[in-house]
Amino acid sequence: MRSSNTLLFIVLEVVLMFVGLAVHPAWSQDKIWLLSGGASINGKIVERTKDKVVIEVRGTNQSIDTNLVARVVFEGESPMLTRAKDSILTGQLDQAIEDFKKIDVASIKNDETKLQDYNFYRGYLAALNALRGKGDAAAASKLLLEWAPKNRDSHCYYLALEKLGELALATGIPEKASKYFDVLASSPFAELKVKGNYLTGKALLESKQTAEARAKFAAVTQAQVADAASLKFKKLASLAAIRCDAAEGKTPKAIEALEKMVDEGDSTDAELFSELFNALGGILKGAGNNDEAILAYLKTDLLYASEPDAHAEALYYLSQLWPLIGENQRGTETKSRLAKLYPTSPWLKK
Amino acid sequence: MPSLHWNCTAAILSTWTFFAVISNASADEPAKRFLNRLREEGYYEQGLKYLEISAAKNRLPANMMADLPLEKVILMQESLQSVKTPQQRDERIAAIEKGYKEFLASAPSHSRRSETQTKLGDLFLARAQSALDESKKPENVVSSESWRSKARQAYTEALELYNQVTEELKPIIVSMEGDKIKTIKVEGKDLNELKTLREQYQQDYRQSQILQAKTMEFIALTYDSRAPEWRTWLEKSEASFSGVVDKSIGQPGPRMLSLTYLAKVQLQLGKIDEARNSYIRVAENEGEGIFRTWRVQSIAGIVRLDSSEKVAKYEAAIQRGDDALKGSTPKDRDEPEWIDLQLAIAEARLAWGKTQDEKKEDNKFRNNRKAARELLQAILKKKGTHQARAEKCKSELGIETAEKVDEKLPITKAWVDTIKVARERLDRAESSESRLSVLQQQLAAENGGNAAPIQAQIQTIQDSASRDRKQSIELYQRALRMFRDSDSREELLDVKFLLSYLHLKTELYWEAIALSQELMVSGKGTDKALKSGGFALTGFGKIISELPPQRQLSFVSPLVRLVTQLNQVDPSSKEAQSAVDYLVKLDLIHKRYDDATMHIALGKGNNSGGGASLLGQILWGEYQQAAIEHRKNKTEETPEEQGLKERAERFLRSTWDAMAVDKTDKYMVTGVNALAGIYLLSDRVDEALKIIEAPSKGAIALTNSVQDLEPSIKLEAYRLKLQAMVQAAGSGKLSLSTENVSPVVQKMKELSGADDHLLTNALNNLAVKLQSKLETSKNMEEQSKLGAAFGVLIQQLIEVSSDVSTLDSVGSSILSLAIKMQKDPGLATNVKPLMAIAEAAFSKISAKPDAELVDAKRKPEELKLKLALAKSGAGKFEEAHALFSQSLATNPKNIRFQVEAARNLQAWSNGKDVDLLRKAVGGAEPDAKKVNVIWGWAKINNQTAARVNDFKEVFFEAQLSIAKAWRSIALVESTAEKKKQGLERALSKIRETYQFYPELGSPELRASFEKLLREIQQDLGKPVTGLQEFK
Repeated sequence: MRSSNTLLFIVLEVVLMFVGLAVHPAWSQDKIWLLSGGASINGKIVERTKDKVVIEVRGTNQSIDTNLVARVVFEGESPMLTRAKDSILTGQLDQAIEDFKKIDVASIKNDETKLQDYNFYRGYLAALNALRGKGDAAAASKLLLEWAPKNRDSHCYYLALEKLGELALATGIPEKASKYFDVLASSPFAELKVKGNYLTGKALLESKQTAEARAKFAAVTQAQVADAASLKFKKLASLAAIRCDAAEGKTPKAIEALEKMVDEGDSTDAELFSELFNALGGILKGAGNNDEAILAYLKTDLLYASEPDAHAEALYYLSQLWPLIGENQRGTETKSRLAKLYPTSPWLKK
Repeated sequence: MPSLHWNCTAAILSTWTFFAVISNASADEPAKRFLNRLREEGYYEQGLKYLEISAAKNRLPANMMADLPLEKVILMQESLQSVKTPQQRDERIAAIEKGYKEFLASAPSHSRRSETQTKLGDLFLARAQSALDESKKPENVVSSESWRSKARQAYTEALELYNQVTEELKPIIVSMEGDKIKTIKVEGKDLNELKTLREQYQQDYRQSQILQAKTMEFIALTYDSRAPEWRTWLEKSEASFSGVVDKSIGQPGPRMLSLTYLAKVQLQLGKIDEARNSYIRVAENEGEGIFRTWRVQSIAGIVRLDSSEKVAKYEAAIQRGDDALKGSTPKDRDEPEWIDLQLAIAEARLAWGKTQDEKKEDNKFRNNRKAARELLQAILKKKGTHQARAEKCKSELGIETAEKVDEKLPITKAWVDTIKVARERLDRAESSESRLSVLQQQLAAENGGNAAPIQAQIQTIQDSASRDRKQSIELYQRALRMFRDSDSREELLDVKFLLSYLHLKTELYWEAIALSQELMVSGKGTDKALKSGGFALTGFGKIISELPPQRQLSFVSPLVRLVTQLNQVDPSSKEAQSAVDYLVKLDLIHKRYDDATMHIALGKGNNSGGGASLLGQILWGEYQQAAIEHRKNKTEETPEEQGLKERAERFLRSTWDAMAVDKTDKYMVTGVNALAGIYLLSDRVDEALKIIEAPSKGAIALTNSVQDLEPSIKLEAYRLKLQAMVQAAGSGKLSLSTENVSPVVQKMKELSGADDHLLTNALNNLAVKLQSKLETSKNMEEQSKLGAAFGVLIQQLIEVSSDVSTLDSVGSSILSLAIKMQKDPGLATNVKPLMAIAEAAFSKISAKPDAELVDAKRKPEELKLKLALAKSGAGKFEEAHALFSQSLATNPKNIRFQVEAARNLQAWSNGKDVDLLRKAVGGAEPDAKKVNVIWGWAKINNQTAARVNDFKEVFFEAQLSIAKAWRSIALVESTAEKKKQGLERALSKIRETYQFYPELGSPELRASFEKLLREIQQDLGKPVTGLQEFK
């Protein structure tokens, strides 16, 4: 017969399992959460590559493609890192950074997997922070560049490359960006291919390689995909193709096409619409139509400030456009807002 | 001031919400959203351009296209604020007017027609107001009439517009009256929607009527007040407002608003009685919200009206205002309408002051000015339009001058005269002293050079009050000498009473006591006798507090006599109860508990009051002290000690039952906490929760209501609440969760503020109490629940706190509990979850920089040890090992660390891993010089062998552990021979220890040696005789 105290602690343990799971991964196994949601897959991770994670669940191996993985939590990982991963997924970047700072690095220095994971998130968080205009983009790039070559078999490899590309774009070196994004385009996953091609095209357009860019965008728009994320990239690629038209001097056609996209699009899609209005603003500005260009950029500023990069771009161009219609003070105010909201944004340094 | 002008309708209609313009803004359409955002950010010009460009490109949604002309005009009106030149402004106003008129002409049945008319009306009113303002400017004195004429024209246009609205709406409303509405057919609208529409039309109709009446008043103001038109228009306005009042029965909003406006118009017409009547009708409404605002405004109107020269009912006006003010909260008094009421009262007082004769009505005059000054000072601290007027009033009051007082002792010859001037001196002293607090506040707020005059004024007041009191005493004493049998006995009693009071105030305590006691006899049965008892008690208190402790007890007898006397007058009086409390407290200070128990019985026989509470707390303290001793010595408590607890409970409970919240002091609150503690100790959780959570006099409620409570007392109340919650959860009466625990912990954090020791102590206390409950609990199921609840609680505390002290406190308590459990073989397997909780706490601490730990008065090394212990306990031996290695690399002689590091290695081996077992004995982690950083049991044994008395436990534990390790290694040896050799070696270790130290350290260690030896004997196939083998 069990003693009373034994029962007591069985109950206690059960309670703690529910209450303190997030901060006590010590009792748990490795865990994988999928982007599609649902409960975690718990077991022992037995293999990891950039394309798949194999987890042994009660004696049976399950192979999961890395593009489906939302996050991986390793057994015995620092609760602070677990929390930081959570916060990243829920968009609470400041919280993630705070939690990350509290991780006891000494406790994982002898655990290669955890150290690799820690170093990835160190660079990844720095990149996310830099890309929202609040951190040092060069420092973030350095961290990820140190990490990526040594961890080509990490399930986080594509993520690292994507961020490296975005950082290169943000710091005005699109040639490098296209190389990083190309790795995504060559992945075995259709969705990642679409994303990679779109981003590569974007980088090529930035580096004035319009024809090559157009080809990448065409690859995206013609891709046979149906998931929501890919469909959005298809729209963004259509938009980018219009930018290619504008870059080749076909302004009226470009404006018409963009306005058609506005009419047909879903205005709650902040990512698409902020890009759309910025594209429109850029074309109108190039055509010397300052009043309309201001209106286009104001749409991004007033309706889609949730998109940091697009917002910073809109503020930058507004700060240039206001003085052109005699509103010098507004120009100065807008520049101050840009500096205040995105202190390390590359747009501020332009 | 364009922004004021463009909100005329809103200003007129105040916050009468149902008149709010109904917006038909669409929900999520980007064009509409964009336009609204442009408006919000003040980008009106861009808004206009956007409409223009989008319309030209046909890129607006259909619903916006339909309203485009109106939207543009509204935007133009809003953009007036940003127009830069007067010319642009005039042009734009003209364009706006044109735009509105065109819209109204082109869309006679548009759903936004009413909104448009209101906005056009605003435009007219604003234009009129602007012209009227211009007419009043000194530089426009010549063109004043021309400006007035312009204003009149604009007001007239507004009036015509409002007339038009009512004319348009009237037939529509008539056609929808009663059941007629059922015959109306409007496409897309059912009957309910039609009814809503009818209601809207009715409201619009009433709104227009009020605006008509108000505009008539405005038109009057464009005339000189001597002109016949001025009166004519005011009379029209009066008639219109009266009409609305009469017709809006059942519509309290329009009715009250119209009455308020009506009163103002009537006032201008000099119809004082009518205006007063209108105001009173509003002042008598009992509604809340805007109705209360109107009520206050009307009272201010009445105060002004009654304190006007014509009415001159100053005192009545002030009284009405003061009465209303009494019903306000401090927050209310910051609201504009309440500020205006205060201003009205101050003005009334000023007006009244002008009618007073300063010489004849010295006190009244001064008090009135003082009250006016206080009101003005209060409202001048608040920002608002009232400030200029209040400042003007204050300047009329002038500088507060010290009164000229008659300093000489008056000469009197008769009883009546003498007591009259004595009383005047007393009143004067009290009255002047009452100003001190205001002056002291002024002095505290004064930064500049006005401090010296204020200080001088304070000194003057204090000096004169002191002189007046002394003179009053002399005069009363003179009066007593003059008293004749023919004089009033009642006055004699009064004189003695006041003299006793004066003695007390002038610190002549013995005189005060003597006179008070005489009064208690001579005035028996009167209120004065009772109050005299209070004077005597205060006198005794003051004298006793000055005495050395050994002489204080000589006052017990006089105090008992005083209590007896007071009980004869009224045993339930607060004076009698205070006397008993004081007596009991004196007993308690001198530890005379039996006397205290006896004296408590003097108090109305119900054992209640502060004294009973204190006695209860002391008895409870004694019981707890005894319980600690019993736990330490493992002895049982005696019936006498049980009696202590029962008596403590009785006294504390009776105090609580009879306690009045407004009479509760901090000692009684501590008593309430103690009572809850008793119930919790006795597992009477329901009763404890009742004491803690009772709405007004529960421990928690008292933390808010009792003034000047120390944070530790408040924290104790919340600590008890947490304990009660855990115990309730332990008995299955409550489910403990983040939701119910977190607010309590957060509150405790708030209360402890910057002083984390308070919180740490409270939490430590909680952990100790709960741990003690857990250990003493005998019921298996209850233990399970209690343990689970305890775990949830600690987990919560760790989650919510980032404070080092708190984390250390809760982490240490759970670690300590877990370590105790480890020693119990029956519980050892259940220790891991507790250790994991402790690990979470110490991991959180370890993420902090050392400097923060030092600031929190914690030693980083000690915390590292706790973290390592927790990790080891939680089965994370490797991580613990790394921590030990790290610490010992810098401080290898830390014997505590060395012991724990060796224990960790041994636990890590699980008795099977030979390599780890060898490391546990022989050490591990060699440094550069190949010296093991972790010593292992062998070196620990060597290092402590020379000082066994100092390191008794460590030495014997090392011996025992070595023997255990050797046995474990032997058991996994591959051959029987090696196994036997290993076991013999382990047995020799025990024998060797026994030969030198037969007591083997302590009874517990001896038992462990015995157990191990028996196991080895069994392994070797020997007779299992234990230590007998060596004898």
